[in-house]
Amino acid sequence: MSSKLDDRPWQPEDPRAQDLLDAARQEEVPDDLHDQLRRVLGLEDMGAGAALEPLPPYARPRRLARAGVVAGALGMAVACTFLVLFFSRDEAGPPLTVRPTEEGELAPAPQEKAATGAAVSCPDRVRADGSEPLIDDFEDRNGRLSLVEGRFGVWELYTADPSKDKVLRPARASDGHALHVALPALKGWGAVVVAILGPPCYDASRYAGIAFRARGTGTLRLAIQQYDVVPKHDGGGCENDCYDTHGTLMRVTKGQTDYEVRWEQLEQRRGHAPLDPSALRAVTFEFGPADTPADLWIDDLRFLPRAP
Amino acid sequence: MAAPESPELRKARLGDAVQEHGPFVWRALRRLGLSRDDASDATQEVFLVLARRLDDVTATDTRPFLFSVARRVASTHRRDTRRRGEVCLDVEPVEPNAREPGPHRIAEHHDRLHMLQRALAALPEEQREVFVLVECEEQTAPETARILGIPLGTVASRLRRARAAFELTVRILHSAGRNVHGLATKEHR
Repeated sequence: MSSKLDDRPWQPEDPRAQDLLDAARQEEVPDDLHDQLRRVLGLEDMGAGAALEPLPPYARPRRLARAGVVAGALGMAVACTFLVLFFSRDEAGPPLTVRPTEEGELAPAPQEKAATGAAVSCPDRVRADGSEPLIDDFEDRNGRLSLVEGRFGVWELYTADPSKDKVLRPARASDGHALHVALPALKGWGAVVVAILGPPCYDASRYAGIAFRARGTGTLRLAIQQYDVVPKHDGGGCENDCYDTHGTLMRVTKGQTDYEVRWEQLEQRRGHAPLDPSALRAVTFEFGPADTPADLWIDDLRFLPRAP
Repeated sequence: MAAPESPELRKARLGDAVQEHGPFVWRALRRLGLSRDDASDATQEVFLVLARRLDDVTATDTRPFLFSVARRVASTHRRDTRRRGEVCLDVEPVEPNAREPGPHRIAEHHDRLHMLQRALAALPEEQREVFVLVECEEQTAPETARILGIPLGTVASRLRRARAAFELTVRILHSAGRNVHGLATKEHR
């Protein structure tokens, strides 16, 4: 049988088939498709006169590895230092800087903001007004943050093996839906689950911290990517020694538990600058290779309101 | 490895890609079995991947890259839909061409799109991809071969089989006397 392709347009014998093809060609894309894409990609201005950094890719440790190759030996040394510090901290098994949330309890009053970092310079900020603390309860099952207060990220998983990179979709849990992170034993730098809050900087200073509910087996590092630790080529403001995120280790147990972390409890691995909650870039859950395999359910991620 | 482009250049490239390929990706996702809403979400996912891989994708490779990502994303969506026990059929109102208003035309347009999705879903995946690109997206055979990364002869053979299967499926769906709209309603119960 010949495989030669006839250049003439196909004319189905059955006019009903032609009719369906016409329907396919005539279907119009949603009017707001381009706007949606431009917004998700950070291609539209987020404020008056904003000089928006153009690219909001999901910052990940692999970028650090790539930068290390380019920078040669110096980069390798930095990467090694990063790994040594990361694992030594894991092995130490520090007590969790989290505790169950008591119903009705509010985070510290605004004056505690002094414990957080000095203002990080940002080209523009998307400001949360403090009215919508819920970041994602995963009940919409679409793998995206709730589109409120300027947030719009997608939940994605990155590992040292790029073939395993994927968008995470909430799964059915015992009480609705939640983010299910099931990781095999991993090598390299492990894995990271990440969602952009809003580029170039997300101002969450109206909130006091971040909280979520989790259960399962494993250890994770809840971390915030601040604008100035994200490399410039990823739309951030960092030139050297990037991805020194602010985070804290948490050992998740089988029983469903509410965890809360205040901004001042988040620490860098190498640096000592406190977090500036007005210059956030993304929220992440990091897993070192020693923390895998892991099987965790994460739910009801939210900002902690400040006490009035 | 080439040095990263300036943020301005990357922004311009991404903007161009959205403008040039956005509708193509959305329609391809539709023809690969996603509802209109899911296709919009999935289109965003596809372009987010492009944003991350922009350094690795040349301008001429953009469309093949986007389609390859769209295939994976569509496959994931379909699998998730099956796991959730949902039936991936459009039941939301579909806006027809604005030049053809009226409830009768809307219903007709709706039914045709249902029928189309069902007929495409009946094709084997590798045939459906070729068929969608050539017959729905009106790509040439060489373009299709480049997008899918397969030889031209393979495009020809798959397309021939897909055309025959598509026409047969349409005939069967009609001869069975099924109202596609009614079928969708029944499956959603």
